[in-house]
Amino acid sequence: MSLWTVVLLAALGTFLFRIAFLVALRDVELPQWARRATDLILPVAIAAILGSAVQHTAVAQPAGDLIALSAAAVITVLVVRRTGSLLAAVASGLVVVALLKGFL
Amino acid sequence: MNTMLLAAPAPPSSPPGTDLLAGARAMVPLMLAVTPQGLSLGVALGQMPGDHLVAWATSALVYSGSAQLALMTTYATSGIAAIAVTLIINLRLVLYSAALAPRWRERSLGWRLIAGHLLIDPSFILAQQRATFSFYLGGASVLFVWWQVVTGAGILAPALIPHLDALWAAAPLCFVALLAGAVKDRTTIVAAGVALATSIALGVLPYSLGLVAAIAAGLVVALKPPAALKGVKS
Repeated sequence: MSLWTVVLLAALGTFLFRIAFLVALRDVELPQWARRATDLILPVAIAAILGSAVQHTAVAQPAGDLIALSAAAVITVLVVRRTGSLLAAVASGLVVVALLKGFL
Repeated sequence: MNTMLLAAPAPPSSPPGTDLLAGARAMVPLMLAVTPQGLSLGVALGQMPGDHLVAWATSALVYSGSAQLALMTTYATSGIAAIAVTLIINLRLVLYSAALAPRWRERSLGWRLIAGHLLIDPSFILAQQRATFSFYLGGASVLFVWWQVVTGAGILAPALIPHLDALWAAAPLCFVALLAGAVKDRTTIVAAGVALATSIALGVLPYSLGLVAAIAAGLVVALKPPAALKGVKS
């Protein structure tokens, strides 16, 4: 199978996932547990992606980076709780990482 | 806690053009967060043997960073395996689709197809902030274009990519901030905690399978009957 064929088939399958409920199953009434799952998917997916990033930092980068990231995460949470601004929170965290990188 | 991390609530009658721009503006922090990943992915894809055009085309056709990388690396082993791994990683998109379907039920087929193709983690996050279709479309469209730009830059001009230094932390910190806004009660804390721990523990698995397992674990634990989550308020 050529690479183009593989990419097109993978893209088609992914597209069908994306539109499954938007088009074909839009009138399907989900059971209670499935509706609950759709409510929970956002925090669960974010946490899983975050865990993947933390694991990558732990194994692929210097030990100091994980310490800097942990400290920056605390600041990020504090800023986002205080201001509600995602941009300000991430910027504050990045400043912490940049500062700590000089010491660690 | 203020959970409106990305945009202030809009009045119910705000015109579509205003919402489009508001969505695009609200996407900016998430675009910055995915930039290091997009550039790195582009550089990695560009170093693989084969046509650069097909590598770049995955950004528009598959439009899912971890799945793109898994597809291209697994293809060396087997084409069928590459397709299977891509679909396993992207299985979460079915849940995203199910979550958004009730909101867009009245939209035309064409708009639902476009919105569906633009559906990925950051655009789904944006859709949680404001319920209007225009807001989603504005943010999701600029993210899609930006993804083509950054992955294309990594594939075609890796020498021009600046040293990213502290920017490697942008994506995890963005997810930290988003998670802080997304956990609303003890059930979501438990679900997110299980997903986080599982993802870290299984991060060594190839092709982002740990990510898939972590999402499944978080959902399974949170969806257990109340007796199994004694004391957890849903």
